[in-house]
Amino acid sequence: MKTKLTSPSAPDPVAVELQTPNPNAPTQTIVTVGDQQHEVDIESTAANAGLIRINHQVHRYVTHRDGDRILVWIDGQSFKFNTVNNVPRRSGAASTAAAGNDITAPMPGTILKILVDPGDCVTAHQPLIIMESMKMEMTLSAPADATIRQISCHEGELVERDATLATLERSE
Amino acid sequence: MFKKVLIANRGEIAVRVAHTLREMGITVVAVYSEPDAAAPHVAIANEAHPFPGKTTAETYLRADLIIDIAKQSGADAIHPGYGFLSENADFARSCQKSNITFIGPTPESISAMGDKITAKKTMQNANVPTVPGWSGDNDAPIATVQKEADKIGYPLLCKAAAGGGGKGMRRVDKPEDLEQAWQSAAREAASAFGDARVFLEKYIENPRHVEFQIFGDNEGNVVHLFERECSIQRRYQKIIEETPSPALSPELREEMGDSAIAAGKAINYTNAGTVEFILAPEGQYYFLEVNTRLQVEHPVTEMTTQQDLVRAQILVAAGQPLPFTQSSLQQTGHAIECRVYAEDPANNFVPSTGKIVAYQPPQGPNIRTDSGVTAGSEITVYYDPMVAKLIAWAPTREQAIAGMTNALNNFVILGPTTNIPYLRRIINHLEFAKGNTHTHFLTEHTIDASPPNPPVEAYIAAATSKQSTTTSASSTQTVDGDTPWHTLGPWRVA
Repeated sequence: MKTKLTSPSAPDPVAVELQTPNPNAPTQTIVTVGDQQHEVDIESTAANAGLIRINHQVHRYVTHRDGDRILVWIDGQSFKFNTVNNVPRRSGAASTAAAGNDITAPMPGTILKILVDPGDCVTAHQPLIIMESMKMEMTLSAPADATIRQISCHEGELVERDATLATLERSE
Repeated sequence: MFKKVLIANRGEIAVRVAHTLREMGITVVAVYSEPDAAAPHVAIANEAHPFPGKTTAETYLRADLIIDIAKQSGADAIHPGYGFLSENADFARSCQKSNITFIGPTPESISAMGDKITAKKTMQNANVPTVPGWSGDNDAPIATVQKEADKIGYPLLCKAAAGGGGKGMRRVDKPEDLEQAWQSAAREAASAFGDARVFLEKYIENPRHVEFQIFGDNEGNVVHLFERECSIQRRYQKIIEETPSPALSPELREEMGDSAIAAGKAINYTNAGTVEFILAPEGQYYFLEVNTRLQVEHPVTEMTTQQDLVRAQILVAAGQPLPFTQSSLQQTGHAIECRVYAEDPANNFVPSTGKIVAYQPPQGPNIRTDSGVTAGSEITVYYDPMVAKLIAWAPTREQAIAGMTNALNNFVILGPTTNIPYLRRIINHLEFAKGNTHTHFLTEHTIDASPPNPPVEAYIAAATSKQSTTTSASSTQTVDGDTPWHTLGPWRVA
């Protein structure tokens, strides 16, 4: 069984292959992760939960798989993986958008105030839009010096996460 | 004693109150919104009544519906929990009118303290130290606000008169920022509390937040149950609380405790309340506010005093005297609480919504988890994204930090991203270990919020993962997880 995995903190795909050489000892597995081979004991204690032992080191895990998306809790850390055939572009959308030309809603909420108009020249960190989510106000600011091309929301509007609120054109 | 009590709340606090009610043999009535139909606070109730709708305004804030449900079900009393209607004097008064006991202070105490401007004046009269400031006037031209601000000096704070939890509060460093902060605070206050009044207060640099738990009964007794330090805050929201405070000498504790009692007596306080102070680095302390409710962080007090504060609330509300006296109360050991939020610290702490697909709270003789979710629960935009409170007790602070670290390491939550790794980095920060905490700890010290690269075993676990069904997700749930706040027993430490 071979799986190619990516995670937001390690975007290069890593191939993981599980082989069970001895049918009489099904928990003994040869695992190839990238170009490294490991002898591993995998004891499953429940559906999608169990222990992984590598060189007597015990790692407790719980996983959840939903299509291409795999969630892993192991030794107190949580990780998100995607099987590589279909890497969704959604994860980190808010942060890449902030670096790009769109101002997007970091969470669902209500637009309280729009502080700029199309055509305005703005400077980096200048507040553009104030929105409210879960009763907290949040100011969305310009990522860089730019000109406002378009405002795609209006005050009082309820917006979804990642909705485009404004389009900027960066100054050279 | 009450036979039936309605809990006008949701989440972990509704579950926590229900546990004590059930232990006291009192029938528990729950109320729930549409998204909460299968929530743990409903599961633990004897009787549950739905609200039509999802938003808090349609549901847990509907004072009229809650009183109707209480009457219909024959409840003798209502426990408001914290948030929602807990500090709403009109609600407390409506309960009185309907002959239903409001488990909390009198409407008069709530009004006296709900308005921070009036509260400050009352405390000045009771010789409780307060922060210099201006009581504000929303109709005043901005020039007047500017002039008052200049008198106080910068930096200063714009604060909502009806505020709490940092909502409607803005720090202002220079005069040109005042107008926007003043208006923004007023807008947020109007939206969160329906009251736009804002006032100004001198900003104390790098203070600690130290609060005292007080308790009053109908015979005029007021005692304090020592302090809680809640200095670790992000955007004015407490995220880690502990007791005792590493900053208090026995003398200062006694002095502040006396001030807390004086504050309580000044407003004829009954039931559970919290007197919040800010403690300047030089040791001078100032009254901040009285929270006329059970606090989110009350478990650290319970763990170190071996008292059940909800039980005491119920006894006092039923007209009985306090179950403790000042001299019978002792602080034993050290307790720390971490608030576990469904949020993404690496992405500007954006709330992380979605279904919790696996949930196993940590266990141990000195670990307590108060949670309002379980496997299968959905974190929605409608409510606060706090999923659980984790509390660790130990004989010393150092051991409590170690116990908390271990508990955080063993808290399984899959689905929404949580702040667990962030909490772990804070409590293991060198300055936290030294007790050098203040309310700007998280801005002064950079806490790495980036997710680590997955280790090899994480890749292996991922590769073993099989398509999950709803049932397999809940099968990772432990028995303890079904009743997240299992019993009062394990944390009643000797």
